[in-house]
Amino acid sequence: MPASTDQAIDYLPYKMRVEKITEETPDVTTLKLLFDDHQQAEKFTFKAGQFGLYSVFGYGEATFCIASSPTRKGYIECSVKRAGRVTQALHSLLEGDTIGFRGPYGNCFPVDEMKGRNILFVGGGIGLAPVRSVIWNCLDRRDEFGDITICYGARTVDDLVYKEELKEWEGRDDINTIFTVDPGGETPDWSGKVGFVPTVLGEAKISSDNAVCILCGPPIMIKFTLPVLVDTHGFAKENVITTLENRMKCGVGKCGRCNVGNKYVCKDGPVFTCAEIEEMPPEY
Amino acid sequence: MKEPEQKLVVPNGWLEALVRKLRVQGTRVLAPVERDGAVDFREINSADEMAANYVNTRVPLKEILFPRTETILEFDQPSGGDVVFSGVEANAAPTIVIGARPCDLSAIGVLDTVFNWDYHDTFYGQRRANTTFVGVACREADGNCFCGSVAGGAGENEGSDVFVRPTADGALLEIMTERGKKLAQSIDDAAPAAGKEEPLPVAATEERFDVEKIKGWLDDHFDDDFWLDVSLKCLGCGACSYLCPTCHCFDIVDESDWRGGERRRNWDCCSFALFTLHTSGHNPRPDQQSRCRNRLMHKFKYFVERFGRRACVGCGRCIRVCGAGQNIVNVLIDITRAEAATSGSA
Amino acid sequence: MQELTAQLREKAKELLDAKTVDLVIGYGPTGDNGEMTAVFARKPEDVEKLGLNGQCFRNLAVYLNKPEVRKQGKPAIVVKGCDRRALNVLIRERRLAREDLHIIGVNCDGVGEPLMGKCKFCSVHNPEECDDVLGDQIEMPAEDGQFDDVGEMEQLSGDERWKFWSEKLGECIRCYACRQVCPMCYCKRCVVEKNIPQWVETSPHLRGNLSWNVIRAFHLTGRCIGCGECERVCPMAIPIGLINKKLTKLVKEEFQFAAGMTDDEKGPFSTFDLDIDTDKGIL
Ligand SMILES: Cc1cc2nc3c(=O)[nH]c(=O)nc-3n(C[C@H](O)[C@H](O)[C@H](O)COP(=O)(O)OP(=O)(O)OC[C@H]3O[C@@H](n4cnc5c(N)ncnc54)[C@H](O)[C@@H]3O)c2cc1C
Ligand code: SF4
Ligand code: SF4
Ligand code: SF4
Ligand code: SF4
Ligand code: FES
Repeated sequence: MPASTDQAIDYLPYKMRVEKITEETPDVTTLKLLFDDHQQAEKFTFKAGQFGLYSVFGYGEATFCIASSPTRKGYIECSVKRAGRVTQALHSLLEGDTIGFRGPYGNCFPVDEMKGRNILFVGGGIGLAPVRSVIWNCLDRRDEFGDITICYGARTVDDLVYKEELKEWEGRDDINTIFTVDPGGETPDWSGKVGFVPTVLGEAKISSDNAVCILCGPPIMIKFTLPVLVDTHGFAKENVITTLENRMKCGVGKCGRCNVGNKYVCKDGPVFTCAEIEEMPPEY
Repeated sequence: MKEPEQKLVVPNGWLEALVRKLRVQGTRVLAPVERDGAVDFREINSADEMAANYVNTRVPLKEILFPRTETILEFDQPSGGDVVFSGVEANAAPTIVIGARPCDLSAIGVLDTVFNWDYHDTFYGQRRANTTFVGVACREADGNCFCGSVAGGAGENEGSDVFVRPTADGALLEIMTERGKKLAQSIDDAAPAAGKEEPLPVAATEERFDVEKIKGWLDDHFDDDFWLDVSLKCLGCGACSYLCPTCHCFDIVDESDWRGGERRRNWDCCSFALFTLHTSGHNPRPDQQSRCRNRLMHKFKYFVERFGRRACVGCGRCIRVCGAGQNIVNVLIDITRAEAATSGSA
Repeated sequence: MQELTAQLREKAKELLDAKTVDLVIGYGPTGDNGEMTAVFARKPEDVEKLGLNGQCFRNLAVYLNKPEVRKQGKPAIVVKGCDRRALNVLIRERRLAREDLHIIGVNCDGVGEPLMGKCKFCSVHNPEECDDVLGDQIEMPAEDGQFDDVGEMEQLSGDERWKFWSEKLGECIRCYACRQVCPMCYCKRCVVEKNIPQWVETSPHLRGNLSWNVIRAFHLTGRCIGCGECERVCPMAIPIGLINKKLTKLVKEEFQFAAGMTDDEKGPFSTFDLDIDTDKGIL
């Protein structure tokens, strides 16, 4: 049993204000949120990979990772794909509106253990959100890490999130980037690759030496990417780190919704190595 | 069984006197009361209102600490996108619960674990701190009780603040906790037990299967046709979990009109198809067999591995309420047989 | 009874042996109290688990809606007359095709001990349009007074009815056993599960419970065949069958209609006919 947090939970969120809304794609929006209370803002810390429950009052709560980097203080960002009741309500917010946030919850990516190692980031679709938090975390401490490669794919050019940042990363000479869209999703001026993430990754020159991979995306992408990483590029499953997205309500190990076997994804996760996931019953 | 802090002997009529006294003090007293044929915990003013004969209450003890629905915050939406919200106090008036059964009290231990293992749930915690449980040994069980196989049986005192063992001319009270000692101060005519008192015999609930062996079989049989066989008749409703004294899953929902509203938490359960359904349509537990398996595994494997105790106390409610006739004892006996067949030690 | 059980097993074995069907959904005893619950015979040797007696009150038609059961292949199903009516509704609503189903009817002179209320007023002791029928024809006239309990309720004042129902429905814990056991509640996503907008509040408080129980009954108007399963399984003993019955009575009075008597009947709320529906209505 991991050490107890030993804090009280009353499910009362922080009051946050929507500072900025960025429409990333037709169905993904990034919200930049500021704490209403300055003291709360100062005390608040989190780690890359952690998540929270964001609420639109009257509609309910929904779970999203914190998509901004812990190195950028004073605000948090989340990127929300329109899916159902709460996400739709989040998409109808205006700048200045109030929302609730409770968190940060869950474990985190082992950023400190990644020091001195090469990092391969692999994201698919909205799955880039949690990865982005680690990417900026590492980029803001660039000297501490070895080679950094970012491989990102989406269905179409339109569906790529964080378009400005993709450009910025592409332009930096201390990052390798591989950006791709699914066949048929390209536009005439698309300069990246065309093909599914696993295929594109399989053809790329990637070394697993002293490397870790952070892999987030839809389950189907993970399913086909993992063999490429392990068999083609020789990654040990312990060095491929991903997140699980079981449905959550409480976020704090109470409501019972997120369990995979005897693990609570909200407490023991959402970050797991692929080796750990292999040990679990296939209920994710 | 735990060694009591103190043992007291009380004459017949002690309960009537106690309830009277507590009510005069204005303390809330809950006890099993029969209404329209169903026995449930309700507020009483006098011990006369208590049900005379009952195996157990229909709704389990858990509802006193973890109600089926409760408000966890309130909000107003004045205008201009602003929202004013605030937490609410748990409705946690000091309460004495009389007549709880050993199985249900043992289930409180399961809830204590869940609501405190990591974060401490304030709503649960406030009610827990203000509630004193007076348990009573069961003199009668019905064919569905199986506490003897999974928990301490009909005379188990663990979990009670005061545990009552009826005797021919009164009762032997086992004072188990500080809260119990405090309550005992309100009990008149109590004398220290001499050690010769003979409690009336408790209901016999013999061991019908071996939970260790069941756990062993579960460890190796996640994928097994057994789960299809036991699940086909299950309808996927919430009756067994909602009325289970240890099941603790919940949902959180907002309910409001255009001015404001509240956030509530409601009982929920892993037998429902929607419990785990993702937006994409992907469902980690896509069919009733995986859901039935999860319910059983959670009680007899996952919870044990995680917290070192089982999440079934043998109250038999799930059997009594299941409209499809699902019977957890039969399922556990089937597992026992399967285990015997695989281990060759039939 | 024993004779019927033997006949049923023989029939089931024949069907499974010949692979006419992939499974037989029937009754069988569980535990030692003689309770008859659903049995799914998938192999010829499973037929030994099947049985028939006066405790076969469950309506097995509900299982035909469960994807887990449908996945097992072509079913044969054991039905009493009342259950047969449920199949008619499912067929007329295009949930089932008659040819995808092997129906084993059992002539029935009532179930339960004491006899269940529905059996006293039953007019379908001998199920019709079955592939096989077991048991002798039964002559048993329906008693009068099927709607007496509804009538009693109608006699009460509005305030008295409100008091009665708010007490009863206040107890609902929203376990949805009533819905899950109902053969007609087959929606992939039930109205209480639709949350854009949230039509029905899911919390088990009186407001939410009222909307739920009323909506449920409305959705069953002209479709409920009165098997009584919802009320039987309700763990909180709420007389929800009475709400359905009130609507059944209305449908009978207003439309001279009872659901599930044939599989090509036209239900009052699912049919529009220019010749019959002459009301100006909202159009
Ligand atoms: C740890 C974690 C991190 C996540 N991070 C992100 C993120 O960064 N960006 C993002 O867009 N999404 C993320 N999700 C998914 C997101 O939580 C769901 O899409 C969201 O909760 C849907 O809420 P809704 O109210 O709009 O949908 P609802 O109206 O509640 O439901 C619509 C459908 O979504 C399903 N659903 C509800 N909640 C979830 C859930 N938590 N996960 C999956 N399906 C659900 C329902 O079963 C239903 O089918 C994350 C989920 C988890 C568990
Ligand atoms: S076992 Fe019975 S009570 Fe439990 S979900 Fe299945 S049908 Fe409902
Ligand atoms: S699983 Fe059944 S017998 Fe066990 S505690 Fe829950 S309701 Fe009681
Ligand atoms: S058995 Fe299911 S409903 Fe009960 S506590 Fe476990 S996960 Fe929750
Ligand atoms: S079965 Fe009874 S308690 Fe359960 S939802 Fe239906 S009416 Fe409510
Ligand atoms: S989200 Fe509630 S237990 Fe994990």
